[in-house]
Amino acid sequence: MISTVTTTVTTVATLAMGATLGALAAMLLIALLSAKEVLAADRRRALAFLGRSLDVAIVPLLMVFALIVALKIIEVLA
Amino acid sequence: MKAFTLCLAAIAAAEVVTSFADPACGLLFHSAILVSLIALSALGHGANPSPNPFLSLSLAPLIRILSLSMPLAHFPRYAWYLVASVPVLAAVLTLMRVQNMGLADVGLTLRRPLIQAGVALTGAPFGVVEYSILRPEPLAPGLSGAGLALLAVALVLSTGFVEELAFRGVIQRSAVEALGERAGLLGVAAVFASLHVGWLNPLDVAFVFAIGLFFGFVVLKTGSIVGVSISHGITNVVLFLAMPILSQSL
Repeated sequence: MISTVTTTVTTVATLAMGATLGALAAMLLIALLSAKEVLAADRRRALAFLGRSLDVAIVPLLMVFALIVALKIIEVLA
Repeated sequence: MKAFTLCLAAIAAAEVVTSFADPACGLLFHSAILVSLIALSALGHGANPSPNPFLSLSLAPLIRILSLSMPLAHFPRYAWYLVASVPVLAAVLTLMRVQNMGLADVGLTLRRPLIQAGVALTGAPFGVVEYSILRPEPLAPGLSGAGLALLAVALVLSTGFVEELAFRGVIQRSAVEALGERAGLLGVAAVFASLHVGWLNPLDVAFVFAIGLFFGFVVLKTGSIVGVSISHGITNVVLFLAMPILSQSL
């Protein structure tokens, strides 16, 4: 189960579930990055806007992904 | 308007799935809503120069996706707020850039300072009432003095400012333009309240809905999120820091 602390802070009960959710978010990030790459090849105005709009999700998900990778590296090295 | 209302209902449903069924299913549900909202924003692009309501609303599922996937368990509990708020703030700033929204557009302006100061003061009673509903454990039992003061500032900035910037500054502005004042206010307050379902306390959800309406009304009438940001931050300081310590010492 999850526990909500505030609107923006929700945590899951176990580290294993946290890893699953992190993996799902990484898959979403890969899908969004792929879509952005495909949309960049099209010059239509609406699709260009869609490509830019994807940044709204891509930028923060990249930050979360970087944090997950950094923590994993620290865990391996420690 | 129908599509926007449907999206609001879908976000609330995804939050219920996340809290009561399975967080992984909830994350997939939120992801599907996020992608749909971004796709819908492109469909209406060009017809209306104002900020796109679907793109703004995409912040709501994104906030939950980020908070669920963030490895917060590796950090001490008192650091969760700051860690969680950084990517959310990045999302809001990216959205403002994509939609050419300035600081004044999202309410980052000090209009009617006396009213803002009065609204800021409402944070203390709100915090006491919410504490009587939730009775949370002390956030940082080992901290005292300067550490507590720093944590209080971090709470005001990360929960008060970032959450109000997202919900009242960006989402409400677009929702009011898309749905009108009354429906926009109610819709955003409902989404805000639905993101508190995880406490598994219906009274708290109702309380947060009422607070969301109040904050939304203030921002609608003053055009500034300064007062409600401070009030929201103080509410959380009283709820998670002051009241638990006070109740333990009594």
